[in-house]
Amino acid sequence: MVTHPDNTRDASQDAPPAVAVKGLSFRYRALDEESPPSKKTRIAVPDSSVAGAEAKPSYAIRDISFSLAHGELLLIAGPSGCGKSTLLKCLNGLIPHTFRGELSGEIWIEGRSAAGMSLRERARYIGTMLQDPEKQIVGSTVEQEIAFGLENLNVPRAEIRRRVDAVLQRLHLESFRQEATFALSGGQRQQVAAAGVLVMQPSIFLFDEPFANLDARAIDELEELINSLRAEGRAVIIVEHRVEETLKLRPDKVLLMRDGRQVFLGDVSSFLEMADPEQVKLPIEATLRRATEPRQVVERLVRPIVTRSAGAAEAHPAEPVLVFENVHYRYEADGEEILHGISFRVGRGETIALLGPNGAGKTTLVKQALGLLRPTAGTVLLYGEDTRKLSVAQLATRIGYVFQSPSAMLFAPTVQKELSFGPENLRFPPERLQRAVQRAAEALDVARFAERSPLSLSFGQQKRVSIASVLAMESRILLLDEPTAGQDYRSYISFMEHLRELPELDALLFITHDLDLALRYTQRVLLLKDGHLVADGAPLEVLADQTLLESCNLRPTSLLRYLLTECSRSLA
Amino acid sequence: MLIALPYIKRDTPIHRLDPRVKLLLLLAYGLAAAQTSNVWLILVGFVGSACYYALARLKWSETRRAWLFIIFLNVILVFGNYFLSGGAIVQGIDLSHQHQLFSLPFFGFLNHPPYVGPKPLIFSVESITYMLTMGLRNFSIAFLAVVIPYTTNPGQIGVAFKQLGLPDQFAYAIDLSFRFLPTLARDFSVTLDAQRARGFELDKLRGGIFGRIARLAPLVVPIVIGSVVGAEDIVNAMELRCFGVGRRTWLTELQTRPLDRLLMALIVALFVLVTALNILGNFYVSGPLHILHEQGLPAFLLR
Repeated sequence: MVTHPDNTRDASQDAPPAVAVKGLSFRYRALDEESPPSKKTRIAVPDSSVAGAEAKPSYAIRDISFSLAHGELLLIAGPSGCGKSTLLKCLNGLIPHTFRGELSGEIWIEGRSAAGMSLRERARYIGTMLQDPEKQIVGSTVEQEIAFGLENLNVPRAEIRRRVDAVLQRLHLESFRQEATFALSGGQRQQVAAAGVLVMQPSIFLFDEPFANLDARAIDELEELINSLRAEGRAVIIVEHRVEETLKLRPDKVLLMRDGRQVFLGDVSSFLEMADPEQVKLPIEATLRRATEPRQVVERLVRPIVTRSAGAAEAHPAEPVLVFENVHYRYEADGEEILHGISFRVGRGETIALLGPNGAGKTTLVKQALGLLRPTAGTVLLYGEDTRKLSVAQLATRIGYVFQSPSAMLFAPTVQKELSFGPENLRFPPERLQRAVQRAAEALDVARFAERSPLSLSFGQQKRVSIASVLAMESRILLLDEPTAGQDYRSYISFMEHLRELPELDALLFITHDLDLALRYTQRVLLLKDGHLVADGAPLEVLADQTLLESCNLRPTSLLRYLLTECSRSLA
Repeated sequence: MLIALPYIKRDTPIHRLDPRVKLLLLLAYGLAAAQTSNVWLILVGFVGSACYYALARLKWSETRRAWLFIIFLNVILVFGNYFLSGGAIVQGIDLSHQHQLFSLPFFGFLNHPPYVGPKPLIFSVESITYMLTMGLRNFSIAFLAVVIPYTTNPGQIGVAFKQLGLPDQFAYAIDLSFRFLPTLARDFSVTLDAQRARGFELDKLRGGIFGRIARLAPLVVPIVIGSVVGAEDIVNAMELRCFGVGRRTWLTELQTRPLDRLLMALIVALFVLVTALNILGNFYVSGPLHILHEQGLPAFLLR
């Protein structure tokens, strides 16, 4: 049929659950493995020889069972590589449709067995929001994107128009109808991607890590959408390791996975009692409740990184390493001004978080220090020298910048060569090069994969390689763009602890919109909004201002709230 | 945004044309122009396409990059062709009686071993005219081609191909390239910045031509790998929304006006006429039916 019935309308109490999964297991088939054993291979390979010697088949997911009623929300949590994404693929049909392997167990969707359901049939019931809306959006304009699914189902034009209009109106996107999808902000993109799924009216929604890289306003909008989906009786499944954010949505059930297995299934309160705060990020209250000595926990959590020993910092206390003086910037002479007179100075030994909503100009600002962009007015001084007089390569020996995505820069055949690339460009003499590379590799603990290809490493490892390869240029100031994005809680924490151990740096700057990162690891916060520096001070001081946070699209975390109440209590 | 599609919204006769007219014109003209080296006919085509281009009211500042590239390419093509062939590739012209003006010592292909050796490069009235004709032809095709991305809403190009009769998959691939071109451009600039911050200098590449290409690896590898990995997500996203399960509707539907239909008929008629003339020209050694097979030089130049 070309049109989808509205599955949600007749969802009564006695209706079957929206999704039921029983004993689901899946194993990807290795590339060198034969597809379903054909007669030929059975003759060629005797049972005992090669097959017996192989390692035990490793399951991506093993024995997963749950069921979800209409209007319910299920949170699937667990560290990277625990099989969350594989489970999603089993539900939306990419397994077995696109990815081959051994699938066993049952999936029931709206009372029908999913076995043998085509993608087209599944799309009637299940809508998937992929992790990166940038990849999900395939239409060049908002309207095209939203209409895409219906076009593929050969729905008549008038019907598509009607349904696209309804969805645009519902998500308040009418004014964006003809907008190019490329030019949308992160939050708008998420909404448009959601609209493209919503228009197909599935009764079950899957979200793969929806909160990654959204600022507070975008998260609010997404939460509003998810809540309204549930109110309409649609079932929602969210895969997310940022448990804290998702718990605000009050999930009905939580499924915790580890190594492909289901370690917990139950309601939120029992989840909070059993979950390990070292593994998943829980609200601070839950972490404290579990601890015997709450004060110690906070002390352990909140420990700003100090990049220089106190003695060295006091040796030249007055000498800033990086100075911005009334920096203005616009991309084109007649274009809009992006930075409106920014001034601040960075002293030796400081760890700073540069916070601000998406599009505030954070990246544009730090590019001035690197010489990738030059201020249209004002000056940037690096160790007292005007950056305008130095080339990007010269600046690179003093200040290192690690981009958000390691895949944007990793290219060399081995980690060793990757690390030597920067120093070679800067013509380091051989002994110095070797020493610098070795120190960087040790500092980030990547020496043990020196001979492996950086592309074969996990995301967290790649991130460390990317930092090591910047550090190998022996720059004394390090800028990290969204250092924790894309990592699960445990690798996030171990990564930040690595940074704590870095050899002596003059300063460390994080560009982030993660408030907890600022609170826990930095000494100072610079808050940027619409190209203005709106606040500069100690993290807790700056972030205490509720109205300021709100105007900057930052939403207070449970840790911030807790620290603030603690502060006021101790003052009283 | 720093990177945007070239489309410039404006109201000109060319903007109002059905995209199919523009595509058809480019295709038909390109195929027709390839059938003749008559300098007068090509000149007429050049003037015509220049007028068409002028109607689109595109400014030099908007199209500068495209044109600089086209001029560069055209110069390479025309001169490359000339030097490689020794000025001798002239369709249908009797080269045994060239009206030689001068010649330069040069290398060329010989018809005896070692096959490549010193050979004079001949400059004759015919070969110079041919070089000019080739340049004019390329530029006239460029006029028609440049207009398309600048005056056509990118959302209409895929559907134009679809309504010209191409399959859904192919037509949507064109839409997809418009969707992901800016993304690719942005990834490129991010990677360029990331590598510059590691001391990589694009303008200081050392080594010979192959060495230089090898030194582009820091730029090329991340972008290629990123696109390949990203492509899998895009394919998944499309499959999850049922792309390719059967016939698809296209939400946008192009409406032709009487003018568009008239133009399309004219374009097709002209193309058929040129092709017919080309075939007929084989049976006549002179006269108006042979016109496509001549260079059309006036007699006073050929004394």
